[in-house]
Amino acid sequence: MASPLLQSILPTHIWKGKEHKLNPLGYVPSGFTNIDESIHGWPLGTLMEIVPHQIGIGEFSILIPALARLSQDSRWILLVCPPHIPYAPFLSRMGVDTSKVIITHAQNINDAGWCMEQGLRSNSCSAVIGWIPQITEKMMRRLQLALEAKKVLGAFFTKPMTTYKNNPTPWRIIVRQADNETLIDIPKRRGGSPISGISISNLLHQTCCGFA
Amino acid sequence: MLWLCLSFPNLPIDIFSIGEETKEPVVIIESTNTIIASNNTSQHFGIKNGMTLSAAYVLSNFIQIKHRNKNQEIKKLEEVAISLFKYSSQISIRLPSSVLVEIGASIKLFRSTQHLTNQIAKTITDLGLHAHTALSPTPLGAIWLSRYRTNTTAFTIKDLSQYIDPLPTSIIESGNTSGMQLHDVGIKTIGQLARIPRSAVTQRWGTYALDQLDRAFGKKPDPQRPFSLPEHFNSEISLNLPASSVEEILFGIHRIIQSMTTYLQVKQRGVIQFELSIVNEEKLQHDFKFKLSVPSRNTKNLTHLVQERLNRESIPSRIESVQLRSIQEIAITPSNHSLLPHEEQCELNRGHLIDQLQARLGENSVYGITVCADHRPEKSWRETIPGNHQQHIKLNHRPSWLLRIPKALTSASDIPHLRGPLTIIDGPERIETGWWDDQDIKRDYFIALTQDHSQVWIYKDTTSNHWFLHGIFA
Repeated sequence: MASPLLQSILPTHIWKGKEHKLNPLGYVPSGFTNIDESIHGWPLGTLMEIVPHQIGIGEFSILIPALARLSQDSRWILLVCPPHIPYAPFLSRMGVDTSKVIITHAQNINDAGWCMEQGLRSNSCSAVIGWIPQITEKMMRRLQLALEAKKVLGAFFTKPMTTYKNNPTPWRIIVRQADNETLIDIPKRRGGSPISGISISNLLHQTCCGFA
Repeated sequence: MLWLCLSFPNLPIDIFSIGEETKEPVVIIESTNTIIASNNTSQHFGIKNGMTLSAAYVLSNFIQIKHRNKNQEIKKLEEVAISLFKYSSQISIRLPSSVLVEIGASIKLFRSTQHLTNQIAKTITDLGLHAHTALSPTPLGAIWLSRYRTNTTAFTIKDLSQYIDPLPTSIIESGNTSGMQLHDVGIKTIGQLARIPRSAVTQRWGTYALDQLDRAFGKKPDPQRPFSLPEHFNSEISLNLPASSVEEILFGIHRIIQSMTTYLQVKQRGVIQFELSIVNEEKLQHDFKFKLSVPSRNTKNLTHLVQERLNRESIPSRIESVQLRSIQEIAITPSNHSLLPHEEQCELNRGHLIDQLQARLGENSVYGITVCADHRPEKSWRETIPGNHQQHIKLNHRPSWLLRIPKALTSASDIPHLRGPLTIIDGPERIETGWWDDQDIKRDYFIALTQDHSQVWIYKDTTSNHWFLHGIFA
């Protein structure tokens, strides 16, 4: 913490190092104690980039308890271009009201980006989640703009290899596997410093038991 | 009672002037090759109504000729009538080119006659028409005045005579007596006719002329046939210039959708199915059917949908006209205002989002999912229309992704391989039978870990002893 003298001369709107600033639109509880304790839950109204290091380590499941909660709302949960069938028995078991889920498939990335944007702008979605591996920076900027000031959970999944020069996404979440447990790193988040190694071990077990 | 009559002397040409104003002279002809209407440019060249086509050619070589389309004129008058329902409930169409509106009962609501007529005038301009108007306590008086002395206002019968008296007798149409006959014997104005003893007029020309006169002055009742709304909306717009892109016809589409939404508003309905047809110069018709998930009468949303759909599909070049028909309409009851204003809006937006996505991506690319009561993994879910309610079924532990087609795995000494040998951590769960729909299965399902710790859902087909990947715990 800076010295009291320095504190007093710095203008109040300057964000200071470790000081944490809460997301103005709030958070949706993630359903995982570790995540909720360290980052309050998933932020609403700010775009998240989720980068799983491999497939099948619970990368989609980290959002499921939040989606279950959001599906109680009358709004849609829009899934854009999921790589496989989002399995209704799984979602239903996890407490997601599948009647709120819409799935769209697009022929090209422009259409996929357009879908996400429409969903975010429409005021009728509580969550918009996309799988767009070749997403462009321009598209991310558009999505972030569409999401700004809306109480919507917005996230998209990318591949670990893709790097962007100027990534405009305010949140970047890495999901990786180490020693038989799933870890979450957050190298970038708005209003906070990077965090790494949030353990959500026993992810599947936890989610099963929590909602079964 | 106070009747407002709107006459459209330029109706034959007005129905063709949607979109850009042409620089070329355009004339409308009837079967006899006489010009019955022309645009401003033609008038600038000196072309007048009643001229023959050959006379017009002397004045300009470049005239565009269009044949009169009476059906469309009637449609246009109906459209005017529909859009005037918000001002009055008593409206009737008087062919060839007038619409009568009883506004006496609406003055109080609109505060003043002036205010009301201004609003009506604006509605007409928005439809792209030019009207001559007149106000009179009798319907026939209003019709006559609007045709000859535009912008006249007569509030009482007493006022009426000073305006009607100078009108030519030729205004009395058809019947046994033509106005021209009266004119020929020197009875040139209505006033003169009114001063001749009635018996003398009846003896020479029958009762028709006097009957008309009595109606005009309110001495005889003159009931009007009210215009009633057609069962479905059906309208057409002709473009001024042939168009070849969606952008060029968008203006026309917006206008025609606006007419439809006005119609729906009057009927207190929302459209749920409609059809748009685009006709090109060769009279080839392309139909586009639209099916909505919630009834709508929102011009902006509907235009948006049509635009998205047309952008996706190929449209013909040199489009001449656009038609719009409503196929199915559903009553929309204006909802009670919710305490939370946001909720209500949300319900409408919900449906609109689906329609919008489907318009661009195709109907099959946007769907919902639901759980089904079936033990076979590929049958325990199915695609549904978005928003279908879910069944409550007791469920086992299942992966988040299901592969649409199970992927065959290689195996070595009965150990399945996926990026190296798999380690089974849970199972087996036997799922079998399905003889009733010929999709019999016999499988042992396992949860397994890959070498790099991904969790997958695999099964062994117990009849063939082959291993398959069926799901991923993502």
